[in-house]
Amino acid sequence: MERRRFVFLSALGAAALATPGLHCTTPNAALDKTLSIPDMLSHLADEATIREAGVAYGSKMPGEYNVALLEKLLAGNAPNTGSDPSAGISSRLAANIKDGFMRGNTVVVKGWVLSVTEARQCALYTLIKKTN
Amino acid sequence: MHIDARELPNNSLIEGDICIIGAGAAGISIAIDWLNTGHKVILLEGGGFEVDETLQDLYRGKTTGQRYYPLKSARLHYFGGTTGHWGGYCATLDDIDFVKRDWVPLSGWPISRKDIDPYYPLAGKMVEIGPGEFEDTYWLEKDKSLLPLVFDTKVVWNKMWQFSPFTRFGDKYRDAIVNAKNVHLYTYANVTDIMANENASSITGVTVKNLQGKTHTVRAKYFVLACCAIQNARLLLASNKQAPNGLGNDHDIVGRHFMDHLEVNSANILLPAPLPLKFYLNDPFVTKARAELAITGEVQRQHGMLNGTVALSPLELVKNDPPMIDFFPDSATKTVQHWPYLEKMFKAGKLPASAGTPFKAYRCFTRMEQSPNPESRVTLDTEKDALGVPRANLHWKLTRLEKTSIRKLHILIGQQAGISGIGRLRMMDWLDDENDNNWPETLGGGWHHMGTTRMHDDPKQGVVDSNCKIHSINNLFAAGSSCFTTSGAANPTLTLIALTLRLSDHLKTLV
Repeated sequence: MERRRFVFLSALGAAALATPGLHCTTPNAALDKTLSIPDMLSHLADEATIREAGVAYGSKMPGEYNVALLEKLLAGNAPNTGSDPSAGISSRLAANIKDGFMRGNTVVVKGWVLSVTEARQCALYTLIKKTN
Repeated sequence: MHIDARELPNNSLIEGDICIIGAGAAGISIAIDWLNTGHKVILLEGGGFEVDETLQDLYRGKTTGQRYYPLKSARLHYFGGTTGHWGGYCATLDDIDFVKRDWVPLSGWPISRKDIDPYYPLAGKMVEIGPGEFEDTYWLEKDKSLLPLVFDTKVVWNKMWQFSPFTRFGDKYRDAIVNAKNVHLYTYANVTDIMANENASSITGVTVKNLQGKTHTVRAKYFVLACCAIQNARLLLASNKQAPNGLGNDHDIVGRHFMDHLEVNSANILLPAPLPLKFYLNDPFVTKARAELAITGEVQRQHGMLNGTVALSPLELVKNDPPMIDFFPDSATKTVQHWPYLEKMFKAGKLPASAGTPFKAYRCFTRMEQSPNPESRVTLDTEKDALGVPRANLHWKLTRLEKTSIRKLHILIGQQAGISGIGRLRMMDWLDDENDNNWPETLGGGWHHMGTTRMHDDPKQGVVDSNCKIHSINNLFAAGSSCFTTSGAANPTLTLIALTLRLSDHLKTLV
């Protein structure tokens, strides 16, 4: 249900980072996590709901529905910050989300009124989970 | 003065200066306005002082099209009219509701909000809310514990509702009218026919009947139809001796453009942390005023949408509530008993109080304007009621514009939720697909009947003129929400009383 928090994903991510052997197997793992977890939505909805939204976005925008493209769209022109490519991305995503709402760059997926950035995050999450 | 028309000798002749047909919110408002004026006012009420299912049966009729409430119980046929089960919601129409909007077919009143403004405070007094305070700043200043959502007010604004203490006109104004020397209230006086001169340009009298078999005639200089939107249209259509299509119906407008507000659960707003939204909540018997989320006129114009609002309720308190249209009873008696029952529950502490409590999820309940639609209409049935009057049929028909407007309303509010960072809005499944024009079974009206004798300067587009006079008839007026050209989003009672008091002033210049 929506009320079951998706926060577990954040917890899972933190555990992975703290667990020897799982510690950021690649820099891209941390980046994917940052890119694919819509922060606000993860506090409001469960994993299945996020995936539903991701699939719905994929249906609306089939041309965008692949990992590489979504990563590129979400990461944009993020400056290379060295060993941790996710650094700075979170705040940029948050700014993009707010900007999307302000400019009306939103989309309705499974009833959710989301910024396009958030919807892309849902789609990326769905694809990443599917391949894992 | 009160006269029971059942007790009069058959074929009595009743005469006065003005004759008001119907003693509900509109009819009683005029009668009160004419107290002690020196003019003889005849106030005709079909029922008595208590709701009576036998008399309610006179209102029974078929409904087709969009699912609707039983006509038999949606309006009350007794002294006080439908105020007998009124929920007390008071709000004004907005400026944009009166103007011609290119994206809303048949919109545009011949009067503006400014024409009604002087009458809103008077209407407010009738329903015991005082002059009425409809600025959010007034209430926010008055109670510092009220916290508004931080939305861009150029897009979403706080439209205020005030709550009447459930003023039942039948109780509140009975003594004033019964004791008045110049107002002659006749109960059990159902008007079954409006008689006109040969070319149907002037009303010569009305025929009154009751179930006891008595028939009387009423003559007056001026007549005011104040029977509610369905019955006003029904009576005009059924009065067809001099005008085959019904009185005032030279252009086939009477009964058309029936409107109600679309009322339906439509979305949830989910928050990451509990937030008290007391400013937006309504605890019956406690709350004096609350805000609903509305879209500014300018943004409505940009998006080509109708006017509408969203009312919030804590999700956990209302999530199991059945939609009103599922349990609205066929029995008028039950509808009248509903509020005393709730009051009893409230006094026993059994109604959940929501205001002041922080919640993490809120239900959005839409109140959406219906665009004027000639296919949404009241017609006459072949079946007649016990007094020989053809029954009313209602075909409630919605258009795509209502649905796209509801969807847009939520997208705009959802965007503001995103900008402000309070949370996210999720529309219900029936709004998910922008190409889906179907309506959910849970959709109901607000049982706000409007538009069947709509106001327009052009007789080909409206039944009444800007003074609520039937275009082609020199001494017949309509009062109430049947005259609304468009419905706006606000509950109609306050406006229909204001409009009626404006008509009352106009009548004073004539008599």
